[in-house]
Amino acid sequence: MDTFKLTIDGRTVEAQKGMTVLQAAKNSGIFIPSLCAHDELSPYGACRLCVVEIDGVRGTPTSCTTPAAEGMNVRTNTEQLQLQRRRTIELMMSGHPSPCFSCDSREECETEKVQPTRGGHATRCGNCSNRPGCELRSVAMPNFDRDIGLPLIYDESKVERNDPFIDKDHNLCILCGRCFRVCEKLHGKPAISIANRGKNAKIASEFEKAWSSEECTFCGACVEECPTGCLTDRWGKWFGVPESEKETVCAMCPKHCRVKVKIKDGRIVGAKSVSLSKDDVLCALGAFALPQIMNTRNRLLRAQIVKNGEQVPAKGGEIVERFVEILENARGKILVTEHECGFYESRKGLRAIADKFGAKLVKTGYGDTELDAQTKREIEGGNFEAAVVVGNYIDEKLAEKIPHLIVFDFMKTPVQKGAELVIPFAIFGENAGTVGDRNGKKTTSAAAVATRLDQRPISGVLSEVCQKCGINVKAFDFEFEPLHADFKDPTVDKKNLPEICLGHYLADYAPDLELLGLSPSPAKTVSRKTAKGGGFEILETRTIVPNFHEVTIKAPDMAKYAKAGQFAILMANSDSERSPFTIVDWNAEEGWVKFIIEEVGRSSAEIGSLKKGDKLAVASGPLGTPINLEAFGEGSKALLLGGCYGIGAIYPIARELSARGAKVTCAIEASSSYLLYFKDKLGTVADNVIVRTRDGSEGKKGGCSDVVREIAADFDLLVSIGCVFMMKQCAQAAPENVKTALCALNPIMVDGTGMCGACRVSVGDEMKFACVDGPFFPLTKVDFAELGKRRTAYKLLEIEAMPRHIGGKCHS
Amino acid sequence: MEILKSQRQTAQKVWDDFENPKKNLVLVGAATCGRAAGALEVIDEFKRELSAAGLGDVEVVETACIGLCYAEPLVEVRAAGVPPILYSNVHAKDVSKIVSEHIKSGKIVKEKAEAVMGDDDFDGIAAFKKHPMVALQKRVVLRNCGVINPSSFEHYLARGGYKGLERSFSMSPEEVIEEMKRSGLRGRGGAGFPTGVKWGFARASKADEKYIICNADEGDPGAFMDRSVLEGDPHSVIEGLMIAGYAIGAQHAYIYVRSEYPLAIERLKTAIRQAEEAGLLKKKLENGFGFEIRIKKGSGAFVCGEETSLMASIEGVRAMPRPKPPFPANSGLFKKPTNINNVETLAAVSSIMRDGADSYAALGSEKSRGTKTFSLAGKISRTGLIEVELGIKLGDIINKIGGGCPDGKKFKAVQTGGPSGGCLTEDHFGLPVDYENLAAVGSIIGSGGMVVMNEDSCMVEVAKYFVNFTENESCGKCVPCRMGTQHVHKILEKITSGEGEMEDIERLKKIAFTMKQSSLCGLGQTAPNPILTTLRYFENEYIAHIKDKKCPALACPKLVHFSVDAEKCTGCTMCERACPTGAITGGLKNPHSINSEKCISCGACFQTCRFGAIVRG
Repeated sequence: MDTFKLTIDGRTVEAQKGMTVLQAAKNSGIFIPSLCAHDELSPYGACRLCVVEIDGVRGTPTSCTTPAAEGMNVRTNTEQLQLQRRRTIELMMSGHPSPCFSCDSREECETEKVQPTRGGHATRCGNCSNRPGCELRSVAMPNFDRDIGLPLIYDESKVERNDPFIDKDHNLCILCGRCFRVCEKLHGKPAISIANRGKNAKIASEFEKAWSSEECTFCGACVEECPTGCLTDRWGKWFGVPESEKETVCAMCPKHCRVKVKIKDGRIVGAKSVSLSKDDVLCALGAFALPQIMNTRNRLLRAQIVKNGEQVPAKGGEIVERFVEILENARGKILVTEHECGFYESRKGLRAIADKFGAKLVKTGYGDTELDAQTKREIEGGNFEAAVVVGNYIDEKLAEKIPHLIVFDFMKTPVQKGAELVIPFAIFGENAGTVGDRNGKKTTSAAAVATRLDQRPISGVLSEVCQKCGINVKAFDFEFEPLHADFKDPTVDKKNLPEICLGHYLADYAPDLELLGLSPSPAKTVSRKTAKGGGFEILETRTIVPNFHEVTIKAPDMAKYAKAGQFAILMANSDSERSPFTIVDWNAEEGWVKFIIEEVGRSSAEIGSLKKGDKLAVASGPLGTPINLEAFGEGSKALLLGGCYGIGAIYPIARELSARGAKVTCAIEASSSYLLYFKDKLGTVADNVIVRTRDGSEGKKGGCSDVVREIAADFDLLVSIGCVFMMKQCAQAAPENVKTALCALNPIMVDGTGMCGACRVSVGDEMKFACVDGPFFPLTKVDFAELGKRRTAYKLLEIEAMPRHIGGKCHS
Repeated sequence: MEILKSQRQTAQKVWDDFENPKKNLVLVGAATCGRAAGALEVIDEFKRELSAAGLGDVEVVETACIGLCYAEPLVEVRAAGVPPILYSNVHAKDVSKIVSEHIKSGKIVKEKAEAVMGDDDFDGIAAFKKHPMVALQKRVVLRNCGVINPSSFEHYLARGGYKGLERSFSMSPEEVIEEMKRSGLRGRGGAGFPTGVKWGFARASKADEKYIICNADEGDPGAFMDRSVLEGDPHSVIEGLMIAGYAIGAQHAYIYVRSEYPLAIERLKTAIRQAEEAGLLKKKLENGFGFEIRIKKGSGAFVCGEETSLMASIEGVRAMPRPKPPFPANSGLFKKPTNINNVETLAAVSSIMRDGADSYAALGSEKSRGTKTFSLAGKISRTGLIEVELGIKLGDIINKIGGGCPDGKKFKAVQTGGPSGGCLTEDHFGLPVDYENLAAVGSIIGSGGMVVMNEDSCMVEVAKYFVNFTENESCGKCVPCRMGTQHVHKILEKITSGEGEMEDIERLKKIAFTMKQSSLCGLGQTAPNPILTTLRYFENEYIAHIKDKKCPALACPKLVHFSVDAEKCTGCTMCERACPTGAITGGLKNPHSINSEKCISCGACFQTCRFGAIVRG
């Protein structure tokens, strides 16, 4: 290979022909900040961070686009270059929601892992789901002094959810062009590019249509290469940065692609291609659907056995014992199904027992949803005493004709209810095995994660069965066939995506696949339960700042009894989550109640999506104990602190206090000025409104805790309402001698009346229920760490339930 | 060349007939500028009047722009008995008089006569070459513009057309490049890179195919040099392309022209067809040189004037600049060695190769040889297209050629070089206009746009205008340009709304620095120039906006307030009717008043009032 020498920062380094200056520097351990550059993609030169000085070259060329040459003298870190970089980053940051860089609490926030919102916009302190894995942060932070010094120009565009699997948050895009360059590299003609120009430039497909309507195959490479949180895996991103990656083989179609799965907390939470080469491109199943399917709630995790006519959980060796018993009793009248996509080991085992017990062996292929007609006729004719079925191939009617049914499956199906043995098996990625590659050569698929609960490899169960029956499995060796010439490759065209695997419709478990034209099983119908008749009419609704909706509903009874500090449980639909929302305003005479709804997940997003005249299925309240303000009248001073939804929640308290003659100061915080609301409204009931933003875009830079630290000592009453992180910060900042300091908690609730215990919180040494004992508790005594943890208890379910906007309609 | 020999003879005859017509002849300047002023109606009117007067045999010919845009429509009448006369501001209503008096009776219509198109004065009318707008000009590139019929191949041929190509063919390509280097011609698109040197790079690049591109994507606001050349003398560009193609060894040429120039495209198409019919294009010539020219229409992106974007656009992908290296000379259009020259450069090439490098190099100044065309626009008496020797004093262009500001207003600044250029003041009137001198004062020659501003122009507003232009035209690829233009525009908006702070000036400089230093292409690198030069020469105006909340030019609506001087107001209701927001009340014969809450400071009342009763302040 041609090598030559050049000088970088006074060091003589070696480079190879074809290297850029950036690569030569990297190769020699010299770091030059860059964002758009990518070793495997064509030079682009858009982020302008990797500028260098080269003797004899005018200006400051970008090192990512300048070929390294013999004898070059390069400087990468002069004062001028540092200044240029800092200024460029400032410009970049001014168009990118940046509290996550500029906030003074960012280190603390890191350890807290404040959960970002899953609402329509990237807002809140965390801003962006990509935060921990954000390359922009890692590149910018060392060069960035937290003070942008420029007004912010975010475009405040809504997160695009019109495509399967991919969320597009253009606020976060820095137009580095990696996405369409990787697309071009992998697919030739890129499916996406930049639309519009200048400030309106954005990543889009032709005419800004949905990518699913274009040539995009959803291979996931663009999402993988996005250095910010603009393009994200809608499902996988909420798990945070994976702990490890492991290579395995995807067996959802006969192509058997190698795939790298991402692992977090012992689960497969994402997947990507093993390299950026054309040969390793994945399809939508491998890149996105696979982890969803593996983690669906529908996974079969428990083994079942019929005892005394009743199906009960199977214990220890019971399964193998019963398995052998059934086989021996039904000898000659057995049906065994063998699936094409099964591991070599399990297929060998199935063939062995079929041979030993004179069973009819039926092969099921990719795409099959039921057994062949002849076999079905035989089942109906009562030809089989027992059957070993791998996958979802027989329905309940057929199952009735088989007295002893053994079902291996990885998903729950109705037919399992009548089976004598139900054995959950681990699929690829969860256990190691041998598959055939596209040439038919045997290759190993590694286990990336451990099996869960009763899940076992099929081969494991079968080898025990065989051992017990004295079968030599080795004798049933077979060869794999190479990939068929007429195989329709799903990585080339999404029309070729396999709809079915092991008799299961994949769209049942990864509903986004429906957007790519895959059908769910005929049995699966999407039921949308909405309030009929009754319900609570929405009199008015408007989005006041991104993700925050001011919703007024007709609820005369609630309005009659509401008091400051109380909340209500609202549900848009009868299958929504029961979520508590503070009553912000009410009018007993006119019979209305007002709420500030912050979109954080599916149920709140559903309420936010309702229009005037729509009805809420449930609005139960007022609930909770009203705040006790009796001690605070004329002459007393109150400091009310609000962040996020809390800005709205402090309003009724401020109003009540001011009616009692107390002097009220309100302090409100938001990550950025464009998320502040109610400033004027609070001004009508408070003597003073203090504003703090995390990025310094309005008021002083900082949060409510800074206000507490600065002035709380002068007040008789402190009330802090907002996210757990903010209340915790306020608690830490509160002076020890403060007379009364309260916070309002809204943990996960179900009934809101003290029955379920979901809202349990630890306050001091006591255990309290936030719904009936609260929501107000002494600020400094609450165990916020526990509260934060409990709030994330249903994270996986919340992620699964996240709404997707399909054709303008909100689907769950 | 053999193939042109017989054609030249015919051409000479056609030209002689045109120059000294046996019959009367009417020439109407009908380039885009003339048409905008009503030239086509004038042509129709002439035809009608002539046939009505029984003079159907008098030919009416369309020529192109002779440069006196302020005087359009221009009509030249060649009638027996008197020398050819150029009439200015000829509208349809003036036609019958010209026909009946001049054409029929040989009597010059004096009130419309602008100049004598001969060498000598006649009857008190000055010769064209003595015309104040023309006297200081040196027309090399514009040699044929407005003189010939641009649709006539013969006219071009007869005026020495394709002799430059013939002379080039008598030399080796290397000699042609040497000749170009000796001429000192520098790229007229804006960058001013020596054309010969550029050709040398492309020549040295080895490849089976090479391209030459003519950049006719003229996008600077107020610039129309290239359009005039294409409309007035398309063959000069084609000849230049062929010479360049021969010199660098290219077989294919593209003319990238904006689709906003339909007439130029039409004329180019005609000219290419004529050249093909004449045997010059699409087939091998005697010396084995084969060449073809294609037209590619741009779709209205300013950034396509940048060479790498332009090539991307021709290739059919999104037009965004890409970093250099690789330079087009090594890997350009379709990854082949490519040379890109501007329209004016190529038109100059054909002239230089015909007359030799020395005569061109004798013109101009030390480092900036030859001539340059400029378009004069804005608040200047004689707007139009001029061509002068480089090194001419700025003041001579503005005052002598352009006639200074009209209506007795005071000159304030001239913006040279479009959105990439800067604003110069009266202090620079003594400055020789060439590449080096303009760069030294923070501006550029650019493609040759000159927009003149008078005392009514607010310089902050001017900077805002240009920055808004670049903001909208930024492709969005690189951070400094995409974000920087948005920020500076916002800051200037803030200042012109009276909400500026003194720190904003520092902020502007800071962002301008980043844009200049770090932007990917020339668009972003030069976009801050209008701000930097206005800050340099008119900082007091910025400060007045910020500190006093006043616009000294009374041009920023948010800082200007209108009121009625009751003494002067006659109650004529003119202003009341002109006000678009109904802010003025009063009624007939009563002094009017302006409701400041409704007033949007549009200035309509100020312009309407004939009694000076509207007070601006």
